[in-house]
Amino acid sequence: MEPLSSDRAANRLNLLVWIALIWAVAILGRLLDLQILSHAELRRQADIQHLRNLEVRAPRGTIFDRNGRVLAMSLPVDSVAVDPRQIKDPAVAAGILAGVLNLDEAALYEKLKESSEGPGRRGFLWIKRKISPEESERLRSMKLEWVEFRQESRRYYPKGTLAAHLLGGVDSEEKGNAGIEMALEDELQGLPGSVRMLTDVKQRGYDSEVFVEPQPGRNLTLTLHEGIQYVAERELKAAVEENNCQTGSIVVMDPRTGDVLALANYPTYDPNEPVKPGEKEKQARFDLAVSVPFEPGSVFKVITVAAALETTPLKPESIIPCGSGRINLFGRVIRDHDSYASLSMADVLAKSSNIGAIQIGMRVGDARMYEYVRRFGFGKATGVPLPAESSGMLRRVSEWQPSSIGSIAMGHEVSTTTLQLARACSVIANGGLLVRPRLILAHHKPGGKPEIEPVEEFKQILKPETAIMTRRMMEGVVLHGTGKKAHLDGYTAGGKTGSAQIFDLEKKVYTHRYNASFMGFAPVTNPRVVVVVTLNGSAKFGGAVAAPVFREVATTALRLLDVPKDLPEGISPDTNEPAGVDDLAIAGLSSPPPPPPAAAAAAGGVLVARASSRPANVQAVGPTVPDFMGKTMRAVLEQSAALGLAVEVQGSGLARAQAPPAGSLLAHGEHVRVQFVR
Amino acid sequence: MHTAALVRSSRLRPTPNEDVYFFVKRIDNSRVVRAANPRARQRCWQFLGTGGLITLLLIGLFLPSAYGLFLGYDLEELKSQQKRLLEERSALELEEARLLAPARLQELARARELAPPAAGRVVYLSPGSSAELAWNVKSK
Repeated sequence: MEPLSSDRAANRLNLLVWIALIWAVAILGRLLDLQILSHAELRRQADIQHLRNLEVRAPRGTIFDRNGRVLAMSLPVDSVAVDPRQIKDPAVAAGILAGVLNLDEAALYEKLKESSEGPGRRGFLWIKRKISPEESERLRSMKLEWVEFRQESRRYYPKGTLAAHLLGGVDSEEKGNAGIEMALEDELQGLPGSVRMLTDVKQRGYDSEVFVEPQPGRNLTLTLHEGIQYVAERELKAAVEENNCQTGSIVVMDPRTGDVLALANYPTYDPNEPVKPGEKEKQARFDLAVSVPFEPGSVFKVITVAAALETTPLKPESIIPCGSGRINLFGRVIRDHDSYASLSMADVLAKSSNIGAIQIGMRVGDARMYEYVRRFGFGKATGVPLPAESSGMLRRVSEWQPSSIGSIAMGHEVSTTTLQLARACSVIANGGLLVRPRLILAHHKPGGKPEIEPVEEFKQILKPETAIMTRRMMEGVVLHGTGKKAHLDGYTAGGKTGSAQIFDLEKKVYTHRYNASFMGFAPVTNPRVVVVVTLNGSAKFGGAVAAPVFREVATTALRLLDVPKDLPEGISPDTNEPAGVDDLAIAGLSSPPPPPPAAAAAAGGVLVARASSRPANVQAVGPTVPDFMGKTMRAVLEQSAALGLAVEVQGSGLARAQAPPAGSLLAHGEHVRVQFVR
Repeated sequence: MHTAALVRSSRLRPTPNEDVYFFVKRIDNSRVVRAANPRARQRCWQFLGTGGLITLLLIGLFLPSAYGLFLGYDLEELKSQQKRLLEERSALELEEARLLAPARLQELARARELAPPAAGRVVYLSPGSSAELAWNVKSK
C-alpha cells in the first residue's frame, strides 16, 4: 500500500508543478505583451487617462511710469467655448449663453445650429473671448458640462487714455499694434510654457513636471511721469477745444538726460477699447508728436540765431536792419508783421521779426545754415523706440532755391516733429549737447535686478557759451517778447513762439488757421524741463494759445520734480507794453517738394504750410476784416491777434483809417493796415 | 388470502443496516499527553517572524511612495493656490492703479474742494534752517 500512496503523491506534485509552470508562463507571456508588445498603445491610453499637458501662461510684461505706477498690465481672463456636438438643443443653449454673456441670442443660435449639424459641424466653437470675471462666475456657477473655459490673457490700461499714443495697444491675440507695445513687442511678450501633470481618476493632480519653462515678458519702466503726463493731456485738451483747433501735441523732456517726461496728443483714445471703424477714430490714433511733421514756423528762429552766434560775428546786441517791415528778397517784397527799422538780434527773437530772421539767416549762409539745422537733429529720426517715427523734411543745400535761406530762417521749407523740436530745444537748455530722447528707463528681467537703460553719450553741437546766450535771448521772448503768456510764477523761463499758416490742400490756398506752437524751458539758469506745445488749426498765434499751455505744464512739472523756485512768487512780466503775440512766419517764399503723406493724412487733408510759392488761384477766404476805427492800438492788436489777422500799424493814438475796409474778406498773406492818429 | 396480503403489505420496509446497533464506549485518555516539539514551535515563530519582517519591509518600501503621493496632492494644491493668489495680487494691483489714476484723483479733489497751493502758500525751507517752521512751533 505505501509505494502506491507515494506514487500518487508524486504525481499530484508533478501536476501541481506543471500547472504552476504553465501559469507562470502565461503570466510571463502576458507581461511580455503588456510591457513590450502592446507597450506603446497601452502607454498612450494611460497617458490619456492620467496625464494632462497644461499650458503655463507667461504674462506680457507690465509697463510702469518712472515712479513705478502701473500704466499697462495683463491679467488672466476666461474665454468661453463649446462643443456643439454635445449640445442637445441649440435654442436652449443660445438662450442661456446669450443671457449670461450679453450676446445676440438669434445670432448665437444660428452659429450653434450651423456648427452642430450639416457640413459645418465641428467640435469646437468660440462663444465669447476674454469675458469679465462677473460673467465667468455666473457661467461657472451653472455647471454646464458642454461649456468649456479656456484661460487667456487680457491687456489692461488702468489709467484709460493716459499716454495712449505712447503706450499703444494690443490686438485680440495680445500682440502690440501701436506705440511701445508694438515697438518692444519682442521684449514685452511672454512665451508660454507647458507642464505635464499626473492626475488621478478625479482629475486631481498629484505630480507635475515642467516640460517647457515659461518665459514671462520683461517689465518696462518708462521715463514718463504720470502726473506731468496727465497735466499735459489735460491742458492740451482744454487748449484745443477752447481755441477750436484740430489737433495738438505736447512733449515734455528733461534736457539733461533726454528723458521724455510726457508725450501727449489730442485727439486721443482709450487703448482699452478695440479699434472702431471710422476716420475720426483712425485720426485719434495718430501719434502726432512723433509721426506727423509740420512746418515749425518762428520757433525755428532759435536755430537761426544759434547758428549765427556760432558762425558769424553777430552778438545778441548786434543791430539787424529790418527795413521798416519790408524787404526785397530775390524780387519779391516781403512784409513783416510789425514795422521795425532795426532791432538787436535779441529783439529779433523776442519780437519774432521775420525780416530780422531772414537777414540773420543770410548772414549765416546756405551751407552753414544747413549744417546747423542738421546738427540740431532735423531731417533725421531721433531714434526713439516708437513705430512710424518721422524724420521730418530737410532738403539738401543743392535742392535749395535762392530764397530758401529766408524761408528756413523763419521755419519754413523744413518740417519737424514736436519731438524733434523738444530735442533741439534741449540743446539750448543743456549747454549745447544733442541728447537722444529716452523713453525706456529700465528693463526688468523676471526675478532679476532692473537693468537701467544707459544714457547715450551726448554730442556737443554748440559751444556752451552759445547755448547760454541763446537761452538768455529766449528768456527775453518770455519777459518782453511774444511769449509773455509763458511767464511762470516763481521760475525763470525761456522760450519761443511760432505760428505757421496752414495750407488747404483742397482749396489750394493758405488759410488763416495756424500751426501755433511754443517751445521753452525752465528755469533759465539750470533748465530741468523742456516743453514743446503745438496746436494745429488755431485761429490765434502761438504766443496767445500755446504759451499758456506751456506755462501750466511747466509749472506743474517743476513742482512735481521738486525744482526749487528761482524767483519770488507774484512777479509778472512787464504788462505796460502791449502783449504782442504776432509771430507769423511768412510762408511761400519758394517752391517746396510735395508734402509727406503722413502730414497730409494727419491733417485730414489740410496740410501745414510748406513755404510753397503763393498759389496762382489765391482767393479771399477770410476772415472778415473787423472795424478797427476809433480803437486804441492795444485793442486793435488784441482783436487782430484773436482773429489771427496780421495787422500793419502806423502812427500812434486812435485808429483813424484802415485798409481793406471793415467787412471785406482777406486774401492769403494780405495784411490789414491801420493808421493811428492822436 | 386477502387478509394475509394486507398484513404483509402493512409491514414497513426494513431500513439499511437496521440490524447494526451503536453504543457508547467510554475511553479514558486523560493520561495521553502531547509530546513537546520545540522544532515545530521554532518553525512557527520563524514563519511568523519572517512574515512580519517581509510585511515591515514592504511597508517600508511602499510607505515613502504613498507618503509622496499624498504630498504630491498637497503640493499641486499649493501650486494652484499660489497661482490663484498671484492672479489675485495682479488684479488688486490693477485695481489700485485704477483708483490712483490722476483723472480720478482730480475728480475726488474737486469734489472735496481741494486745490493746488496758491502762490506764496508754499514755504521752502533752506537747508540750514531748523525744522521749527515745518513743525509749526516757536523756538525756545
